Amino acid sequence: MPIEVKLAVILAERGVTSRDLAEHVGITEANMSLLRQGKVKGVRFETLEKICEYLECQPGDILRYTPPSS
Amino acid sequence: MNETVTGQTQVTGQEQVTGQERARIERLSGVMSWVALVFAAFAVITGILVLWFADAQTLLTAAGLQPAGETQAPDNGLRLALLAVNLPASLLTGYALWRLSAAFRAFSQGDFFGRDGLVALRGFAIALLLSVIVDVVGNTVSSIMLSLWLTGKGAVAIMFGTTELFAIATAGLFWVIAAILAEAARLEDENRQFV
Repeated sequence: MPIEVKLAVILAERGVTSRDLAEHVGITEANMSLLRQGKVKGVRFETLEKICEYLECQPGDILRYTPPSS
Repeated sequence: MNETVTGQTQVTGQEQVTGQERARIERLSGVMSWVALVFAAFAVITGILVLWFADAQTLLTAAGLQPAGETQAPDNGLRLALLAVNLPASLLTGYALWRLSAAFRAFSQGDFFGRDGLVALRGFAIALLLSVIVDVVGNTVSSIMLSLWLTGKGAVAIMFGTTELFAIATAGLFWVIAAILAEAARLEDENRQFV
């Protein structure tokens, strides 16, 4: 998928665990793990808002568009 | 917004209402499951008892024939033949209600959009439709058998009225509901992949 999720990198940079973030956002650790691996179909604005709030970052820091190589 | 804290998670007033509504639907489905099961047993047992114990007049009237003149008492051979012809419709009705009971059981366990409930609901619709068709055919054959056996004069009665139309409409309605639930299940599955 051309949308890359860079959540794992941000989490490592901030020294935040998936569990803490999942608890703050209000989703399960399993779903947070899927999100971190980019194995989800979409992210709700509500979820994105809480992630950005907790990690003090912008949505663009978490998601990146990489055009598929032709 | 009205919010209460339960453990680690916050539950809004809206979510509480949804939870209560869900619990109410589950309870009601549990009751309906048992009701459908009782009706399933009733449909089969009644079908057998009526065919085995009803007198000639009742059997002729039930087959859509006008009892006129002298009629013989139905013997065991005729009753067995009537059972063979009419029991499939009763069994299908019982099976339909059993499937409906299974669908309600799935709903009572909170599995509103699960595969089991959908398959059961679709099974109910198909079995109900088949039971109507088999019942009409069975009644027609019964009328020929009864008229020949009891009165000695061949007659045929095809019974298709508002009851049959209503049953077909009900089967169609449940088929459509099952199709809508299948679409809802697909949407829920897609929604589950959003975090």
